[in-house]
Amino acid sequence: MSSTNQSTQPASQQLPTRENSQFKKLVRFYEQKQYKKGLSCTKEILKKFPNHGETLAMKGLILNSMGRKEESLENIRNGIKNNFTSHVVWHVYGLWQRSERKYDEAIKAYKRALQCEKDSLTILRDLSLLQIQMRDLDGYKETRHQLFNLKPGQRQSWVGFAMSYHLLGDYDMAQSVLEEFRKTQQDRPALSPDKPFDIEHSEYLLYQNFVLRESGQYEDALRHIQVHEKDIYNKLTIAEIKYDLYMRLGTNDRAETILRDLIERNTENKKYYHMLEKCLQVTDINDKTKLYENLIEKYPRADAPKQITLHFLTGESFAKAIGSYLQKGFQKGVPSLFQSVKSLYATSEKVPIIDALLRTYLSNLTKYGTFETLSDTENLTAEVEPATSLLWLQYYLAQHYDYLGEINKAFQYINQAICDTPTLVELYMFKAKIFKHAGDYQTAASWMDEAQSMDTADRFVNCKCTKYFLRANQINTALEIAGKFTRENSSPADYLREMQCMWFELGMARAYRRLKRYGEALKKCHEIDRHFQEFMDDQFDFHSYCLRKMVLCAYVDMLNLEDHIKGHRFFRQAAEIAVEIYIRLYDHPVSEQDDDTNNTLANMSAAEAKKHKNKLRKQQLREQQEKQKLMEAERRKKEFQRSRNKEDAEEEKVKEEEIVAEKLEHCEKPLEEAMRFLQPLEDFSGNFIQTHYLGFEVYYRRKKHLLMLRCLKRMKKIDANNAKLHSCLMKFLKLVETEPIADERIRTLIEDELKTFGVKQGDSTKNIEELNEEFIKNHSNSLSHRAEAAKIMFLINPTNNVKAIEFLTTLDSNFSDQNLKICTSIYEDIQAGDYGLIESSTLEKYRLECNRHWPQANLFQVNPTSTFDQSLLPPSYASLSNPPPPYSSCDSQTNGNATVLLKQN
Amino acid sequence: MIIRNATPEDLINMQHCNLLCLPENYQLKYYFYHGLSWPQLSYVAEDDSGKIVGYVLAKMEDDGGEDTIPHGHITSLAVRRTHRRLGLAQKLMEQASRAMVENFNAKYVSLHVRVSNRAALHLYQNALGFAIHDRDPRYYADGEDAFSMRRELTLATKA
Repeated sequence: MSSTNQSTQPASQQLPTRENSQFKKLVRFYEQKQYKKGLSCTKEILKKFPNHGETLAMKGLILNSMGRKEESLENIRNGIKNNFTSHVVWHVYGLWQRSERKYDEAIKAYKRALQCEKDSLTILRDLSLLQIQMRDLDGYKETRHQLFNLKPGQRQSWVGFAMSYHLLGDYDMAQSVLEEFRKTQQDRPALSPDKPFDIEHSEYLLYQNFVLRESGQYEDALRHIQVHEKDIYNKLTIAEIKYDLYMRLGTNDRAETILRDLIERNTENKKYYHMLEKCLQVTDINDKTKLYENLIEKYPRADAPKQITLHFLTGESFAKAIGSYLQKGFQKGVPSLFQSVKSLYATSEKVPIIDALLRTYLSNLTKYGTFETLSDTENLTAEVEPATSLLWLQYYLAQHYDYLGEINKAFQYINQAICDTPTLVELYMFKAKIFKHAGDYQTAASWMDEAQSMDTADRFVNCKCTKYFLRANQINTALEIAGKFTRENSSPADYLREMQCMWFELGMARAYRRLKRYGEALKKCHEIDRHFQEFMDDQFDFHSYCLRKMVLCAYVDMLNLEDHIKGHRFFRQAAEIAVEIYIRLYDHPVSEQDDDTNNTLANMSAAEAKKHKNKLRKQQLREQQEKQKLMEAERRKKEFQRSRNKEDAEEEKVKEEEIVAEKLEHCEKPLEEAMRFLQPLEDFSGNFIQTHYLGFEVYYRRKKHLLMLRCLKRMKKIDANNAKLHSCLMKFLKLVETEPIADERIRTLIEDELKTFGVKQGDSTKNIEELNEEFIKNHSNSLSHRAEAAKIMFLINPTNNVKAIEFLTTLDSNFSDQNLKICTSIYEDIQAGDYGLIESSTLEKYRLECNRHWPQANLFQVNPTSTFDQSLLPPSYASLSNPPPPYSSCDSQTNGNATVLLKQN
Repeated sequence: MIIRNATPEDLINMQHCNLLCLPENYQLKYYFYHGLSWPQLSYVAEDDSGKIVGYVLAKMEDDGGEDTIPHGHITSLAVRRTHRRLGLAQKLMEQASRAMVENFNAKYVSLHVRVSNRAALHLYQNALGFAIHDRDPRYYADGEDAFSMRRELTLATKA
């Protein structure tokens, strides 16, 4: 805070010398975070001059730092009222707004301050930070220009000025500013022996080069890097830049030299090998094989070249290569062996080769103790594999068959392995995973718990266990498990939220959704949204920090990251859940689902029922408001205590309003709430079809025709054969048919656009029924397409859904996608009423049939039977000392324990 | 597998890997602090699907106090349990150490480990060439002591 220029102030606001020096002291105390002392200064000044605006404002600023928000704003406002021509009061007001994260308001306040004091460096600097935070790039450029004019001697002024042009895409201007400054650096003092590294200059040069490359001036960039190489210490980046430039300029031989150095430096970056192929223009398979043979010979310990080789080899040579790769993995006991070759399974010819090898190994290891088949004479001399080779082979086989969907075989191998080696945690973890894939989440969680109990010091297995309990909807147990690694003096959920642990919050949101506790689920989604808000606020401090530290390239990367940070999968997944739930809440408001209400409603006339509902709603609202008042009072009490406890403490973070689950669940306009999540999905996750599907569903309910059309077009662009695209399109056609659009222009536009969807015959739209039939005929083998077609059958004929249900619930092993996941979603959609009312016997029949296909899946199991099959549970659960028998031995019995566990919730 | 220098884009995923593997966790801003102060020093191991399965988060100690020898510090190093025995920790450390020497003229690299964490201690001593330098009492929030360990860099990385 710069001190006041007394002469320009109105007489009433001028302080005598004593108070004026008091004021200066006060500013210093504030800057040193000595808030108590600062406050007593203000007291003394205000005793004599109770209307001194700048003192009032400073008092407010200090109170703000002490967490006393409301008093603080009052004082600042008072300060402005008394002296609105002072830059200090406006600057303080800006700082206050900034601390509230109201950056737009803060910018306005700083601009007012600048009107009072045109050339204040502090205000200009603060303003520039807000402008870059808000990505007001033009404003940033202007402010940076002013700062440059005021302080041309500082490196930061030059860099900030150049960067403001760079960010606007004016590379030439950025470049000439950077070059101008660089020239002044030529007679830098020679580096002293005790500080031989000028990393800041090195970074400066790299940034300058970055701008040259972004502007497409590759020749200049190459010259620049060659000239300044000796002053740049980041050898890795130099090499990567040079490779890129040599390739762009067509000098592949030079690029190759660089690449070979890069590989020498880091043999495990697959990208370098692919770049080398490109650089050498290797296309012929023999050349490629030879290239990699040489590389593998040169770097025998490197994994990357071997892995790449496995991808392009075929037939015999593939068998040979994968054979030796697997054998080494089994010998060494590499737990991630399957993971590292899993991508090979996408090539269908490779799977039987691997399968055959594994069988041979298994039979040979059991018979001879070696991988290869031995003759009798060899058998006497051959070196026998260690017993662990068989163990890791069994572990691999379990993963292999699980991946191929042969669950019983997977169980067989994992059980054998556990039986032979009951102490290896990995085996138990994988057994849990097979149960999870089989749909038995309860037993899966028990096995993961067993694994966790064998190595309680390892957080990874603890996290898996937490995750599995969440999947089994056992939220309290999950929290208990997670709590073993969280701080003792706060609840596990609070600690994990503080640490922005989003996998956990997503797991919670999904569990709550399955339990139909939508408010709680939404709360988790909103918490994740807040984390991302915080990530965006986090950048603030780095705007000045990075320019000061000269970390420029990483800073620009960070700005770019922040511009699309909500495209991260954690945000996307949370947003998808939230939008889905909001749609659900719109279709079935919570009060309707309330059983008590429905029972009462059943005995009332329509008018009475409406009255009753209104009464209930008002009551709920009242209760909510009271609860909120209580919470608010509690919060204020806490805040007050906090501020008393640590008066001279660090500035507090903005205290967020608590998210209340019930309020979210009972929100009045769920579709509008949904936009908070849908908008960023559309902005940053536009290449995911689910985004536009959800978009369609929201706009359909809001009757936004053009937006629906936009979603349809985007879905079609991503995947024209998508099943959901069909049902959305049909719903759209039905809507414009039953409720014709009044606006002529919109109607014609839509008619025009529909031509591209293949639903027109000449000028008229085809009949929906006909289109649906056509669709069924074209996708008769796909269950997911049938499910969408059935939805349309129900849409066309809502009074008679028998045909639709029958069509939907037909199972046939010829369907290409008849799997647990799809049948689960069909079953759940029927239950949720997506296909209208349905006879319970029909649903029961479907359940039984699914149960036959997926006997372990909890969802399709009958209610608990009296027999409690302990053999399925891990030893600690069944209190058995021996490991449980192989899964196959109890295949025929329906397990009751799962449903027992379910009911406990 | 790809082992490469970490970028700002990786920081959220490094935080995720840390939360899965280690009891010491940090808010994202702390990762930003590393990535925007010493972008050259942190490395990630990424699997075929782009998932971060291991990372090393490193910095330079520039407190300027009595210890003026430039040296690096490993803030956090983790490899997912599912990706152990591939030598990833070692490979990540090699890259980070080399970057410390090249960019900042570091003479040694230091780190802390819980005295009870025998597995980690073993890894640092045997596979990564660290030696115990000191014992810091009550270094961790829960009151546990830490071994402070060091590894000389000048010779090791030039070999």
